[in-house]
Amino acid sequence: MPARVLIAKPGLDGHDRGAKVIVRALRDAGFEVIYTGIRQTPEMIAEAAMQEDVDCVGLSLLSGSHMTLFPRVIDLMKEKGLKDVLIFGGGIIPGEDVPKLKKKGVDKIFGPGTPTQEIVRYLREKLSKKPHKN
Amino acid sequence: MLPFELKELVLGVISGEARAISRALSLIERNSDPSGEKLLQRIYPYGGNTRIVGITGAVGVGKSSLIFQLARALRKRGHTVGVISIDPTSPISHGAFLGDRVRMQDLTADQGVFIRSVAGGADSVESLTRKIFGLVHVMEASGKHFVLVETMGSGQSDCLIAKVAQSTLYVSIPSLGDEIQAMKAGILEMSDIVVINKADHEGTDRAITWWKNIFSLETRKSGAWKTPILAVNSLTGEGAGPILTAIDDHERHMKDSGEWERRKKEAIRTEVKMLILERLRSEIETRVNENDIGGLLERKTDPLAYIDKALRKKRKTYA
Repeated sequence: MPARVLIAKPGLDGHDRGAKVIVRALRDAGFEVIYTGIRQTPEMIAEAAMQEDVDCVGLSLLSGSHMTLFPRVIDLMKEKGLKDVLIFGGGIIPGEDVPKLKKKGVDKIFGPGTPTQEIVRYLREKLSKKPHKN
Repeated sequence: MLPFELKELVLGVISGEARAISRALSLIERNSDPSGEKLLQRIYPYGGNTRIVGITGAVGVGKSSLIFQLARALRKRGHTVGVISIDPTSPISHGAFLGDRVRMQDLTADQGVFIRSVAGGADSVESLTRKIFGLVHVMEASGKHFVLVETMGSGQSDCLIAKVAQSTLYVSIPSLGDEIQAMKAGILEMSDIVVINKADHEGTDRAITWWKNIFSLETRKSGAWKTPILAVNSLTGEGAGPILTAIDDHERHMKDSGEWERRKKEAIRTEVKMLILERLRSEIETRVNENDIGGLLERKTDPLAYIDKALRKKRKTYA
């Protein structure tokens, strides 16, 4: 069974072109991709990640509220017992915030212009270490 | 999975813990894991009391949005709901895009609803059906009052959902097809309730009229279930209530006529057949002997004589 990835858009910005590009690239790379849609609360994302039993959550955010919302998603996921789910992020994230987010548990941030194949390679490598997965 | 872990998982499922349900569903989906079969055996006795409703219809008619409204209406009545939404697997990459949650966003915050997106898989429809039965059993054991199973955008001949569910809803929209389409054999015959979604669109009244006309032509035994044709707007939820009433009416009708038990038995029969098929499928590989392929290549024997021999060999092994 392919690895399962949740692509989620926390916060209030409605621009999900980037998220859709990632969804499509991952689908074509053989992942099972679940998309939440836009304007999700951290609670909704954590609950969806739990119900869908995903291996990985990708957060896309362009509005500038990543320092509040990304860590909140991670905390809620931990509360639900999702401790070994890989978290990565993308969107408009200033470079100075990246180390802080990493400290909070975001494994990697992909900025604008990242080739989709780079993200595919990253996920394949990270998720291959998990049992039962591709 | 260790025995005590399995025991804990079973306990979690039957006490309705969401994390346990989620892990159990994954275990069932990953057919390769033998713990999945053990889990199924342990939880099976706790099922059997859940109302299973299938939602089918062509791609884009609004099945997911309809499920959102039905689940909301069911929650208002105090029922707990499990949703199993299936989207297709890519035959090329074997990946999948599971997008049904997008239509059900406001249900995510509700602890009384559990939604699971499922990829159809690259294997046979029998294998998918076997999987769906297993996923339904997990939802049943968790005590959900209703399980709504959403098919992939279906074709006319995709009828297996009617074997899984006790009631099947066929969803269409006003602009899709005409009376001629409604007369065709297949899934329409197997549907118990027809829903015309997007009822705010032009032509809804006309569509309802001709669907009713066509269904009135059906040769039915007296007292048989009369398929209701219902309009709904899944954006607003207008019309969702009457659909729930029709689902209840259908249950009552089936219970009075003996159809309820007949369908439940047919579901079990179907599940058992699918399981046997899966077992046999994995057996097939071991039945083909490479040396015999050489004989066939030289036309010393023929494929039919060969399979007769191969199957006899199998029977002996089992005896």
